[in-house]
Amino acid sequence: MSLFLAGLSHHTAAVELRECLAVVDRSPEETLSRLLELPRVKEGFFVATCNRVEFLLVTEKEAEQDRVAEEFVSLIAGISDLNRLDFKDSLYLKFDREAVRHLFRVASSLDSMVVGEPQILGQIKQAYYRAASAGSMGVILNRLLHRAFHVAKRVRTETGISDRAVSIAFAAVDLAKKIFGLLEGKKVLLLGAGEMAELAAEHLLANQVASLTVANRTLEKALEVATRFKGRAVSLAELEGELAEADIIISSTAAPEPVLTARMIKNSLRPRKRRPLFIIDIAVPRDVEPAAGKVENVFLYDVDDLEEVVARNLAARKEEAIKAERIVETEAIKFETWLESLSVVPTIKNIQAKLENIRRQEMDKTLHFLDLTPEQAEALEVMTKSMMHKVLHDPALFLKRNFRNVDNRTKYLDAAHRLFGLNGLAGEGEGPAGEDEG
Amino acid sequence: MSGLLFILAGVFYLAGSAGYAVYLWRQREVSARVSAWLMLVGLVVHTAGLVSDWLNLGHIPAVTLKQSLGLMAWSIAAGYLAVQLKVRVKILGSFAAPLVLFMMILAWTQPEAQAVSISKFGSAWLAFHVVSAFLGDAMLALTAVAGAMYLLQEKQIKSKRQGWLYSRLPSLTTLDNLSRIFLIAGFSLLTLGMLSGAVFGQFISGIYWRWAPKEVWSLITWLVYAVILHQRLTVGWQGRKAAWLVIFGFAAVVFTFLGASFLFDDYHNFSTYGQPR
Repeated sequence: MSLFLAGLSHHTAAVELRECLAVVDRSPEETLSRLLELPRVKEGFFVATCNRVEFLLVTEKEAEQDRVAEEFVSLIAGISDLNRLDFKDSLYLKFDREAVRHLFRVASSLDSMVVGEPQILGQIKQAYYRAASAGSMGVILNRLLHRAFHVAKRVRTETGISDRAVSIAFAAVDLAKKIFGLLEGKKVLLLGAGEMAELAAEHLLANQVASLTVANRTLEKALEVATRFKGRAVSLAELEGELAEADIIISSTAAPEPVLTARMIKNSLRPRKRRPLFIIDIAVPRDVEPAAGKVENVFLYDVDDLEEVVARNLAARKEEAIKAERIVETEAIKFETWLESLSVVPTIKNIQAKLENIRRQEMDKTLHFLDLTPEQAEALEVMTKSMMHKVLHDPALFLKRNFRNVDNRTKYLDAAHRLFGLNGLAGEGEGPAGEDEG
Repeated sequence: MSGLLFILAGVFYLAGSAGYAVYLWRQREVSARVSAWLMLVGLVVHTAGLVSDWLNLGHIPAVTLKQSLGLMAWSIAAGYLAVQLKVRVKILGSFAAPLVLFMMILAWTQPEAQAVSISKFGSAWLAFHVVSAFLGDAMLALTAVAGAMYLLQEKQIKSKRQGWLYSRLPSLTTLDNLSRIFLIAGFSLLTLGMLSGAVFGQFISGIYWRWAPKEVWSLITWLVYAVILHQRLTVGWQGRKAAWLVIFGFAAVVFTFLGASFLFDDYHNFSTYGQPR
């Protein structure tokens, strides 16, 4: 059995091409069944997101890699109505350990556009359940995907790869948490509107802030935004009164002059009872006088400041990614070892070694307190050995038998590994909803 | 016997401080947990040493400077561990444990002074006076520690250079809260300490208040903290100003604890305890 992976991602293909290939996702069951119809292909899986499409196939060992690749490209060209020349250059093909390594990297978000973003794992899991219920996954892909989930979990917990915010909106929420601790019960004031400001407001609402007030030059616009966020609308004239209430201000008006002056902020200090105030100024030109940030217990961040935070966090993620690559590498080697052991001769040898080991130990224990002559000991040796061989005879014959379906042999080999607890596999859960994910 | 216990307690405090340094560096939960346990074991051993001293001397061991510094180390350890139970700010240990260790080492470097033993020192009122005053001072020290932590974190956020400490220190609100809890506890204990001291004075000499330097300075310290507490709770001062206030306020504590004893001739002094003037 060998592994074949083909895909294209934001690294290799422009968005137009990725869009065209995304048609495979329109009817996933059909795509999966057509993958399995390819000659010598035993198992199939694919995942498609807006940033990548990845196909994973298990082929017979004897299959020529070039042939498989050729047939695969024709199939995809057929499904997507693309000229094969259009995408062949963007397509990457990987085999065996390289394929495993690539899948692990993708699942751990090391290959993502924003390294460390968590969505990709969920998307792969979804694709996994889909393929499992479509019946296109066999022993090998099942285990491979479970290992991928396991690796992703290890990377997430053992490295700080997704610890830091790498978008402006998330960076703002992180800062708010460093100032206020829990955001529950905090009041947010939204000045003006705009995509980034509303995104930040959304993240804050997700963190259970108590209320959202929207102020705008025109009350009409304020009302519109407020309805969307289930907030309250006020006009800019009421700003000074609102300053006394707010804990977090997100400002992004199009005003050419500062909307919030340092004096206004200073004057609000007393009615606010010196409560901390976090001001996020996303507007260009800026809405808040920089001197406002010098006022006691007031923390002012503008777009440049937040961008700097994001840049620093991205650099830190890169460092953590090195640790993650190491985890991926070790896990890929482990998987390859398992895959290689999953053929007939090594399996029988492993079982034999295990039985021999047990026989040796038990013999030593017994001979230790039986005072036998060399002849008697020899007889015991011969007897136990022949018992062992007889026990092994039928299973070995069964595994060596000619299976009409190669896939069945893999299943039985896997079962043998489990039954005899080879490679430390005993007791590892691996049903369609196995335990080592999540 | 007790000397050995103190050394053992010091070793535990050292191990606890080292563990908390590791926690500060690596941020692994387990090092904070192990360190807290090490500090707790240190505190138990330390308590055993103090009890043994107490039984030998017949009064609470807070007469010489050496004893007082040791008792202060114990008070800070007890205060920080007690509050830690309620407010789970593990990183506090990284700042408080070295302080305990520092006091312990300071006590260890002091010469063994001739302890005067006077029967009237055995009074329960005295023990109450000493323990509450020491715990009060310890809590106020921890208030200043929390205040300093607040200022460090505030600087990280205001300067927009979120350095090494930024991810390690908790939120400003948490630190402000921590400082407030220590302040209330410290002020209450200080008040109790002064009241019980007055009652004890009345018992042994018939005078509640003698206007001795230590008493006067204690009163000044108490007034300073009364003002701080008022600003915090009634006027609503919080954050930066409150943090600076408790740090300055602590200077008064240090002066009363050490300065007033060394600069003035007083019956409260470490060298002349209980000597009639």
